[in-house]
Amino acid sequence: MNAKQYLSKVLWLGGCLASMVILFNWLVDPYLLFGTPRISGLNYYKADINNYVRVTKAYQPSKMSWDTLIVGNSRVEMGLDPTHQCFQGRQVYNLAVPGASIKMQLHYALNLIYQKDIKEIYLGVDFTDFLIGQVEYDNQQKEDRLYTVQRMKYTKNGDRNTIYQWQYLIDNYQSLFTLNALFSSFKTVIQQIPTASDRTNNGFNPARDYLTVINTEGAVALFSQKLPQLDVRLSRPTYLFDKAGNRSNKFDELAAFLQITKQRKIKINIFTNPFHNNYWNLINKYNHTTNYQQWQQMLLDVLEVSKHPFLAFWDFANDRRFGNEQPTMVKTKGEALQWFWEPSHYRKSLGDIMLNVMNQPNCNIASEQFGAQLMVSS
Amino acid sequence: MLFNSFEFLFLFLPITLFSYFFIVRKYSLEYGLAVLVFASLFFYGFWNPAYLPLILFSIVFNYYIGKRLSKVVNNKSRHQRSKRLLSFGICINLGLLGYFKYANFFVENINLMLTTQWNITNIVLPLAISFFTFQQIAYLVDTWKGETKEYSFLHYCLFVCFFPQLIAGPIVHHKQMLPQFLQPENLKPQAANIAIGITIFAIGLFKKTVIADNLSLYVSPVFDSSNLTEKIDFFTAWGGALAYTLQLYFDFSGYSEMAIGCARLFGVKLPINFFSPYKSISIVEFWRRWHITLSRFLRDYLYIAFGGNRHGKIRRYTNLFITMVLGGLWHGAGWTFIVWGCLHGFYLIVNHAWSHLQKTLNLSIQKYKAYHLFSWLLTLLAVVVGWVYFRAPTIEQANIILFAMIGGYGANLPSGIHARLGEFTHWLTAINVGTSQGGGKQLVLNAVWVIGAAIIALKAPNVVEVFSTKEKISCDTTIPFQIGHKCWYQWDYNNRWIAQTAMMLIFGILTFTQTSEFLYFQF
Repeated sequence: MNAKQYLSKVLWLGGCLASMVILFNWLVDPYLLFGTPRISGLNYYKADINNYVRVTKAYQPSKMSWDTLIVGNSRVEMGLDPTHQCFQGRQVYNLAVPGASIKMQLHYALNLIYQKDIKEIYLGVDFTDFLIGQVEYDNQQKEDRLYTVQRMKYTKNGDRNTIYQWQYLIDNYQSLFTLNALFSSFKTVIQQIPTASDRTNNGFNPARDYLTVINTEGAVALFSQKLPQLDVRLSRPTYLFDKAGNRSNKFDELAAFLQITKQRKIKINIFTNPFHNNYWNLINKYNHTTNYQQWQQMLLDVLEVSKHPFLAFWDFANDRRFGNEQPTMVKTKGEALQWFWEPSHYRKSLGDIMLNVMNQPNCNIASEQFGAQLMVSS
Repeated sequence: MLFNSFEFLFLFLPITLFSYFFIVRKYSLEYGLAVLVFASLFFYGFWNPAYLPLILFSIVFNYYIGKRLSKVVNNKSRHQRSKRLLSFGICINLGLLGYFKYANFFVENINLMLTTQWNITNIVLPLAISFFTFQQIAYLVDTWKGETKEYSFLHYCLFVCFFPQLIAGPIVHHKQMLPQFLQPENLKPQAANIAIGITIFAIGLFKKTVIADNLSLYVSPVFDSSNLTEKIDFFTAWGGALAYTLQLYFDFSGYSEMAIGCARLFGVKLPINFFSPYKSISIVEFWRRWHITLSRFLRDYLYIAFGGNRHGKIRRYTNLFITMVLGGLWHGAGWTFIVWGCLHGFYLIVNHAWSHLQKTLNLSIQKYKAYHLFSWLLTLLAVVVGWVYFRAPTIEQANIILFAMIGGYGANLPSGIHARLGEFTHWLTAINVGTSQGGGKQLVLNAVWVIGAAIIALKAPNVVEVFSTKEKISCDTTIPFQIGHKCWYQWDYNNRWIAQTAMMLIFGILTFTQTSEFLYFQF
């Protein structure tokens, strides 16, 4: 073999390897971007999807048809199941985005509203998502438009996002031909076990990866991991009003969103997520109780001002009857709490009750009492 | 422009390579070299065009001084004049370096000492200034010694700014590089050069993008944490320190090999910069294997200039120490670099003193394998301690990490790991290994990457060994090491190397959307 043959073979083999990487990533589809069929034992569970949910949910729901959206953060993503019995006959997608600000959550929803014929939205709201930090407290920017996420096809106003196509190309490229994607694909193939991380095709997070921790360390480990994080988060100075006395601009984001859904005659169910009592203890510890009540009143004001004709508001946070379980009450290992994974994330079992309650009387399922519908005069 | 980027690999490099050989063939070598100079300046200015005037000034100034020096140097009556000219040239070079690199540091320390409030504008460090300044000082000294001369401005420009070695070396001598461009066989593209160049480039690319960049994920949480004492423990501290030790090696040796590979495409053999340094069994050996071109520069232009070993042991050790401190300061304007330099100066003195003692007492312990193992461990430990200061943002932070490495803040394993260890946990508890929150995924991945990278650093052949039988990759023929000739890893035109090269290239290209700069760019 001479140098020229060596070079041509390197190029040829390099091309073959590149094609194989692309094909493998497409076949495994670790981030649910390409709609490749899920094959048991190969790519059924998307074991490395947790860090890529924002990419997945920007593109995946656009490829199918939906009439109902579930919007919120990770609590909603793990709690509300789109295949719940009350949703029979409807096409429901759980669009909740973990760790997303309220701005981002709403933009993800608007992006789909402009693309699909959405009839109903379930929007889970959290007190902490509306608070502003010290920087915003000192200098809160009044925004006249919703924050635009680059990978959204539409902006808040329904205009086409000019950089969407470019971002779409980049995201597809990164999901097909990067080392991270290749690692994710290998991880996906290797971890085809029922306790692997996953997202269903309708966006729900079954949170089965929590079961791994529960099986090996017990539910108490999840609590003792999460509580210090929550402690740090709630101990930071946060505000509902800025220094100049203006309310957190996150209420404006919600108000703008309500106006758009009102114009489009979309029914909207807003609800507060339930917390475990340990979470409430932290809220009390850092003197957020008054803030919380004030937040709820401000939220009600925003809802009332919207005069949205198809709006219902449910408060599950203040009903604490399901939040008493302690991890010490279950076996050391292998058994989860009935209603909560850990202090901030409720389980599907509780989410099912919430959906039962919110869908009465149309949904003919007997349900336990939970939460209360607060009247919004529209 | 980074070597590990689309624009470099798929646009800049092929266009430059094609243009150079096309122009050389169609017009003349001089025009071809002009193309290379222009491309190199474009490559440099791609980061920030504002840096260009400084490098251009530096080139013009040193070319002028060098030209004057080569005119007066052979005339004995003008010896004093040439010495003054050389001193002037060096002073201006060091002055520029001092202003851009050390002015802020100097003023900060004056303010601290005198409790003054002097303030100068925050001076931005121009890219590669340490490298091109030292390379040109070496040129001036070599010219003054009569060892080299350059009458063509174009050639001189290329010597300074040839893009493969401009940003972070290898630091080359004028006489090493320029003649290679003029060799007749290099006037047209050689398939052998391209095959070897691409292979070496692929090895460097893989080392940088796949190994070093993945190790970096475990470095930052340890070294960049502002509130370290609360969370750092024995395992975390060692994980971070070892990850950085390996990251720096794979990052910088990867860069150097990419540079050597690129230059080889043009037919130019750059000197090697690394020769498996972590295999060293003494600090003296480590410095013969680590950043070889800088070590050689420090030896030739500082240590020997200070008197070397010509004035007795005390002076020798003092010269050694000063050289290493200045070597530390060369890397950056900060007390951590000075401490690092002091540490290595101290290590070298101890190493030389121990060698002297061995000879004096006629100790013949070198034949024992246990002695080699102990020497290797001690050398590695000394190097790792040095790297902690080298990487930490402050001396205090480095001390905290070192204190954690000796177990000062306790040793904890994440509960996720504890839960999987079964009965072994009792033994861990008995030796005071506690439990921390978390599943332990990070710690396990850290260990996997460190062990994997360490095996490659310690067991895999380096590029010199890989190419030792088929092709000398370096024009530096004075490598004082035993080069293995095992056939299984020798490079050749065979299917195994085709597969390895293609795989390393593709794995490297797979990381291009997550590009990261090379660590040595900051120096």
